[in-house]
Amino acid sequence: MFLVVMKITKARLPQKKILIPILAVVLIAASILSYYLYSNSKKDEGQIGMLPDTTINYDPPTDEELKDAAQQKEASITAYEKSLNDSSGETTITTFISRVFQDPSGVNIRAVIDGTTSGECIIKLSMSGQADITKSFSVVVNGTTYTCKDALIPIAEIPASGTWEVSLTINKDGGQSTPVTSSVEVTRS
Amino acid sequence: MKKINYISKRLLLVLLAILLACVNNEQALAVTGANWVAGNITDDIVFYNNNSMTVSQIQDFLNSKVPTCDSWGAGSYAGTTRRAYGEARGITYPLTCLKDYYENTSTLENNLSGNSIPNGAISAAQIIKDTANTYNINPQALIVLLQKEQGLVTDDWPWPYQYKAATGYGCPDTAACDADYYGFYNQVNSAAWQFRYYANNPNSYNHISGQYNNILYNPNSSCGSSSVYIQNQATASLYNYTPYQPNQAALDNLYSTGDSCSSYGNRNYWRYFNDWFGSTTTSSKWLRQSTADGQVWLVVQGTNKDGTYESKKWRLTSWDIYLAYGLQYEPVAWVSEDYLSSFTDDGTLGTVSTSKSYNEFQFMDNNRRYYIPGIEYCKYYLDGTENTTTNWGIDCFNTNVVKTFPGDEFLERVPGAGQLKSLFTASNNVTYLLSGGKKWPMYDSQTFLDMGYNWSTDTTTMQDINTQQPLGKLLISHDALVWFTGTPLLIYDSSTKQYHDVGTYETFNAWGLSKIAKSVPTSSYDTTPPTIYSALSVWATDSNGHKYIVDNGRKIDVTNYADELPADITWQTIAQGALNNLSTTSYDDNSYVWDRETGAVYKLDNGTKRWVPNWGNFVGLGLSIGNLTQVADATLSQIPDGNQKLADGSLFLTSTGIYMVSGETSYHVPTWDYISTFNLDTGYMIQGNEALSTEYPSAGELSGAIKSNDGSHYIVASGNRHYISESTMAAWGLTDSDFILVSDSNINRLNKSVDFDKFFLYNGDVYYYGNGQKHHILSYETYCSLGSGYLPQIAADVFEAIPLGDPIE
Repeated sequence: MFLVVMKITKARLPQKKILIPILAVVLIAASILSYYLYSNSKKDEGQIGMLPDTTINYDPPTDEELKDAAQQKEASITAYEKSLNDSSGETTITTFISRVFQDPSGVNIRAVIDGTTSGECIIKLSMSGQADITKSFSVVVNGTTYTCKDALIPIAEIPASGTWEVSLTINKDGGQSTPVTSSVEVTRS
Repeated sequence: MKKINYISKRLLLVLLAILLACVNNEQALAVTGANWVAGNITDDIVFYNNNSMTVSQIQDFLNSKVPTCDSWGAGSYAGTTRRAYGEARGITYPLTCLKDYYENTSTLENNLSGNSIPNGAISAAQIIKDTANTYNINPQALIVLLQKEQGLVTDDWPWPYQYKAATGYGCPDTAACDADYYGFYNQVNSAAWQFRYYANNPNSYNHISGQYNNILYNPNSSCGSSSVYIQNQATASLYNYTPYQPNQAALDNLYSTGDSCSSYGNRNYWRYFNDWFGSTTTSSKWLRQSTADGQVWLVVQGTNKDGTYESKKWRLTSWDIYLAYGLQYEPVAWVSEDYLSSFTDDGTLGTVSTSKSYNEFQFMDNNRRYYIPGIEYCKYYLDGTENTTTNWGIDCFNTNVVKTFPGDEFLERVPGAGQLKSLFTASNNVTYLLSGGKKWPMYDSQTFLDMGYNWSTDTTTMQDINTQQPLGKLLISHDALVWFTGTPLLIYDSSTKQYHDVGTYETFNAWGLSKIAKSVPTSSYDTTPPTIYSALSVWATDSNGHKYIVDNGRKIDVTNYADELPADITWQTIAQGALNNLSTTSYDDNSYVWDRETGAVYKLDNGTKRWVPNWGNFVGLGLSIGNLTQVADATLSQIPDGNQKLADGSLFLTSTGIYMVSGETSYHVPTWDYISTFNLDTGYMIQGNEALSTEYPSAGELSGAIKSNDGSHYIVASGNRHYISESTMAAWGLTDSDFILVSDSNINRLNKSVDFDKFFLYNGDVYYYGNGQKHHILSYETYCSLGSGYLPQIAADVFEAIPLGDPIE
């Protein structure tokens, strides 16, 4: 770029007096700005624990972000309006057994519960020829969803090895969610 | 002029554009759906880095995302103003944007809905930072959480409800939020607490790191799910917090919406983080360096065979360990002590390790992984009793020595190299046998082969860190010269397994140890030095009775000349193998020894060394360089001096006259004439050594009539010898007793001329033979009439020996 500028100044010698001050100003400004930015970047790097590849984007939100934010705003407004009408209690509870596994302490049940912030998990283990085992656990918050608190059926309460069907129902305010099921292979030593 | 100004302005703009491009070169690149990895939304190192931003950086960031806050709802929305729309739904103005939000975290009072900033309130940026520090969560993760749940970061007209449910904590998608967690501080604090709780109780929730997890696409379970291997705790935590993954439609439209089964929480977390703060992952997977003290740690997280999940860390204290595990090229990430405290400290990493999946211990060296095949490699049995037949002596069951990695990923990144062998070659190129927990150095490759090992299969070069066992004794399969560092120079006899001291520096040189001895790098004789027997000698013999003078790395075979050496020499019996290391130089009758230091030449003779005193004698003895055998002066000094060794025909002067050497005797030179008669060289005549009279006893007077050992007779004249037949002798009246016996070399030294015949010349007179007499010829005519002939000028004694007859006229 500098070479280009030199070419122009040669070709237009009479205007040299104008170009030189402009260039000088530009270069000085660039130097000051570079130093400022360098200093700031050094400040950032100086933060304890800063990962080497950490960057912070201080740009204004992009159009895409604004569009996305607008959609979120609508969702928030919807949620707000829903909260105003929540007294009706008419919500759909959905449940999902995400994991059932045996460990030395017993059979563990992990579940995702949506649509309620309270209630009771009713977990039933059943196997042909065996009496059903039913346990209840409280519904507890788990981030943006809920789950069954410490859902464990002790191995001592499971009478036999084999494939047990696991059923989960949420009881709330006298009503029940639709049961969801899974199965687990239980081994008793 | 206008044109110039225009150009200047354009140039200015171009320069500024370039400058700005440079300034923005750190801008994070936008991600695409193809970059999404469901099992690794973020790395732990990123998610748990609570020091990624300062409060001021957070504030600056929040400011940047809402350049102007529409506090009074002047903007339009749904066909009306934002204010009208909000007020219709009970919203009180003015609104407060996140960058301007303050809350007292004790009273939970805030400055929403036109309230003034409460006493003791802190900014949203401060709340985010404080919470991040309290729970060791990346503040960037909390910022993104605020955005993906309620869009608070970019919202320029946020409603108070959005603060109540800021992080979505206790807010199911299909139900109202739990009022217990309402409020900005409550929301941020609860979310961060929850993420820390997930990390501290990794097996207590739905999603577990290091395992396949079934993850829904949507709260509506009919939208399906997929099995995802969650690679780390941070990702597991994000799925615990928001248990849905984006479906393909959501990924295909990364900055928009997908379909009815799409969910966006984790997608948006990932996308916003990438767009605002760079990658959610880091290339630094295993190594962490503490910002507090600079200590580098290996961190490994994973699920064990028994289903348990562990996060462990080990100090890396030597570069050898990096090399052993192939970590030398791994990037290192700086982390806080808080981050490191989430890992169980398992001490300092060594080169023996395992995981719960492995039945064998693994031995690490040079980025290779050897398995330890059996208890014979261990120092102790499982019951703690000592294994006396161990080879390596590894403390296998000591957790301070053997480290157990969670999962298998870290171990298996190091290539397997088969079974650990019972030998290794160290960096000093010495191969060692492991036995009894010691390393037993092998003297040389011959020993290695003699012991039945194979270079390609039985040993491998190992790092110094793995070759620090105590030393066993040196293993030598054959006779050899050994030079232990710090010990005398030794020679090893494999048959007796004895070491002999090499002795002096001269012996060292004689044996050529600098060239052929094996330098053993340390005191490889265990804790007890070898028993050193007699000092090594240069007078060596072997079991077959051969005798050698050892000199300058070679041996001179003097087996047949031992009698020429002093009788009191002690011949040291040396192992044949050691002798075989030396080349052999022959020695014969014509050999002379040559003092390497002084240049003197000697003849070994009857227990003495006899000096050849000068060049004349050297030549006279018929010597050349080929006759000489170099020997160290120190060796020759052990041989007593004998008399000088003189050549036949050489002269020596004693108090009784001049003598000419002839074999083992000498002849007195009667007159100076004989010097020329025998063509003797007085220039090399030895003077002042009376002992030569004894060494070369006089056999009488030198005579011009000589005979050789073969019975030939000669008349010597003018340096020539003239054969004289018996008939001629008779004609001259000479008999055998008139001739002195001289050595063959003296005979040969004289030029052979024509046979002695019927004339000779003496004092200018010509004589003719006849009737056993000499007859003076008085005229030239007579000489001619007698047939004339050659006229040798004979010596006086020969002239006197011939009877005188009548002259011939």
